[in-house]
Amino acid sequence: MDTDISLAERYITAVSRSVPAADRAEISAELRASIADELDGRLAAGEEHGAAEYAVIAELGDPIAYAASLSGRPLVLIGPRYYAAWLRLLRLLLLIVLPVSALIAGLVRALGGGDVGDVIGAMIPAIITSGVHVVFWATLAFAVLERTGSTGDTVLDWTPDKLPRTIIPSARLSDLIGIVVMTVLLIGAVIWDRTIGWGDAHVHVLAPGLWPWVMAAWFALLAIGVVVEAIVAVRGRWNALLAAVSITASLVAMIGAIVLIWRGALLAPDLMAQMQAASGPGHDVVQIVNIVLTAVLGGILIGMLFDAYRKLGRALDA
Amino acid sequence: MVLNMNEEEFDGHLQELRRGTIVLASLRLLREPGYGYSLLEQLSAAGFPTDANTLYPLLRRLEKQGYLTSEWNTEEARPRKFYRTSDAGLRLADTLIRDVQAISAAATKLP
Repeated sequence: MDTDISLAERYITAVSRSVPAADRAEISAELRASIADELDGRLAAGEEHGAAEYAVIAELGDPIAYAASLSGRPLVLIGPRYYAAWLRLLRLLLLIVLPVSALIAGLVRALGGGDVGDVIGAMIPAIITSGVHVVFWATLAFAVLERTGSTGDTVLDWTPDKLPRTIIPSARLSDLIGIVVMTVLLIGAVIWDRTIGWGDAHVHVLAPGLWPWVMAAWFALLAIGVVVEAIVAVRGRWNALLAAVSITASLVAMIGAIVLIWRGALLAPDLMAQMQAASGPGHDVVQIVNIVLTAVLGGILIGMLFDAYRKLGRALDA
Repeated sequence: MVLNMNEEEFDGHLQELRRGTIVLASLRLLREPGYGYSLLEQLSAAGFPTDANTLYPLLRRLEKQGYLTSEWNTEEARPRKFYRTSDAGLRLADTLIRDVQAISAAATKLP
């Protein structure tokens, strides 16, 4: 236990490291004085120096927890405000992404001439990798939301006047949060694809020719979706116009993507060349991938249309 | 107080009940400027025993909210941050005291 630096100084350093830089000097100085005062108090009561210092520090507790309470920061990654929305989105994303990525990985392997073992061998890492990506990015998005969105609006500040004029069912609010997070993740994924690429080989999936105009158009369509969902959250219900705008945006995005697929403009030329190289006389990999992508996009589109129809129906019934 | 026997078992609930009263007691005691450790002692003597790691974050929060003002005293060998209750803090304390009294009156009427 013979260290040059006292337990108190080590504790003060540990706390000051975890508080905002602007408050660091003041918090350290105040903590130093407080610890010294308490130590004096215990020494005056006849305690031995080492034991007294140890007790003072132990009473203050974990420096990270103590620093968090000093600066009013949350000690949870995702708190009760966002937990339900996070769980809902995570389930949805995993449900969509895992089967699709497994299917594509398996298909590519099968077309490359693999047996059943090879196909399963290709699917398992695809499931694990895409699962880790989905969980990580979705959780990161909500953790950021928790830290940026939870200041100021404490329970103490709340009055009944702050209730929105219309009733927002919590499901609607998590719809909104869900679509915002999903949009951010999608945009993040295409930017990642353009800049860094996927896997060890840094494969770019989407054609660079899509930037900037096609991507800008697509981002605009995504933004329309978010705005519509926000209006619905504030109004509390769907109406025919909002549903029409939402459906049109989805239709334009999906049909545009399908057209691009069949014109060979969606996927990166390198990837297309690889797929052509893997093709034989009996199987055209490009065509099969196009069919799969069209089916997936069509499936998502039908799901979205059905969802909009169901919500509109519920709103009109009410 | 015969409470002590069950103190440990009821710790969580007691802590919750006392948390607000520490704000109230601190606001009243800091009409005379005081620093962290002196306030801990005063609180303890006044019947509001408090942990250091509860009090210090609370002082910072009250200061941020404008119920306390602070000033560094560097005249003595050990520089200390002195807190003092602001006018808003005094009004807060008055309100809190009225409320505690109302609660205690209501509690005695409970079946």
